Amino acid sequence: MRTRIVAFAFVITVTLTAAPGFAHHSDVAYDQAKRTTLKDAKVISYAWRNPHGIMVLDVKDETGEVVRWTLETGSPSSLMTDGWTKNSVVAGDVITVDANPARNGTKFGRMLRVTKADGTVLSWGERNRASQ
Amino acid sequence: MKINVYLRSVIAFSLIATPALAQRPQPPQASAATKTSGPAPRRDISGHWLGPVSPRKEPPPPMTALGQQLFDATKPLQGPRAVPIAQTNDPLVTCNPEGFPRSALFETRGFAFEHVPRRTLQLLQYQRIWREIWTDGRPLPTNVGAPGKDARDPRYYGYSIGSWADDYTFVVTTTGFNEDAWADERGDPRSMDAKVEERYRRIDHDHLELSVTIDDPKIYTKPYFVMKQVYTWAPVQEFEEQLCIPSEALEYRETFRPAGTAK
Repeated sequence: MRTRIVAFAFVITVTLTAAPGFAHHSDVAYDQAKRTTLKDAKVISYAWRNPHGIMVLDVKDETGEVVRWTLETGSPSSLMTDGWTKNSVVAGDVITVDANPARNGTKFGRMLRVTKADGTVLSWGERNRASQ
Repeated sequence: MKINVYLRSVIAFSLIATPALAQRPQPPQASAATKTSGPAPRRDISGHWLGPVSPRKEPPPPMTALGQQLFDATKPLQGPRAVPIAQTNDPLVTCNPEGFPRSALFETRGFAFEHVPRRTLQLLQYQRIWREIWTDGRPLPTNVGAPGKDARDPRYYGYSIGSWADDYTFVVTTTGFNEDAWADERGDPRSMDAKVEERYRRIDHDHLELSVTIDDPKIYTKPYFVMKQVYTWAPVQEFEEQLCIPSEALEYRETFRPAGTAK
């Protein structure tokens, strides 16, 4: 019983804290139920700006062909909340990125998490998304 | 009995956690002195305050026919009617002025008050906007948008007056709005004649509670109590530069336009 109550406490707490502080712009273009992992992605450019950052990546698909992905990231304010700095990801880095892909199958997405070559993990709003 | 104790703890923790966890984390340079809240100073809400991007809001009351018509014409990026960025008509998407009361209901990550002679200034981090809240006893204008050379022009941020309801509660009333701006990010409307009341209650040194009510009979069938949100004292009393830059906002919209098109 105690375990169930603690679990209930967790759910209530996460639910109540989930909404504020995350989204500035619409997420409806992205499938939040899906998580695409882009392995060994080369950062072509990363614009650290408002309203949201723009991360452009080249990633090899399963056939070895290079595919360009464009990901939406948080604003500087929201990313700094999660421990990012302007130089956390820069052009030329090779990183692995988890993202919610576009619902329409285009190579766009909303960045969720970056794993750098040295193993450093940087996320965006994952705490706030926990109950989504 | 045990369950009741746990449930009470859960509810109490949840209620406390809601505003507190929505705030930005304390920057590392925060001094130890700011971590323990002292008593609220008398008649003083000056200083920098931190909050969430989008405070939790109550649903609006039933709208009038005009209100519903205006509401239906909005295509917001937020809320249950959210559309992809390429389809929105949210004025903010091209960095048009946020306006009031939206500035109190959205993008509330940072703001400050300064009490100066005859008025209190509210400084908004988002777009580096300021509001003049007159405290010299003047009434609100009654001729905004009226014909005649002495009439006042409607404004995005309206006309504001403020006074102390008690030693710890500063009440601001605002009217005279430019109707181009939305009341909030969900596309809820407000008319030129809306009266918006903000009640800032200094709970203690580090906590400022804001309640917002919109009284707008042209749009809502009864006064709309929008929200109650607690803001926290900023350990570093300084703003970020949080700007909406039109050229970058347009690039953002065009870059992600394909993501929001039909399959």
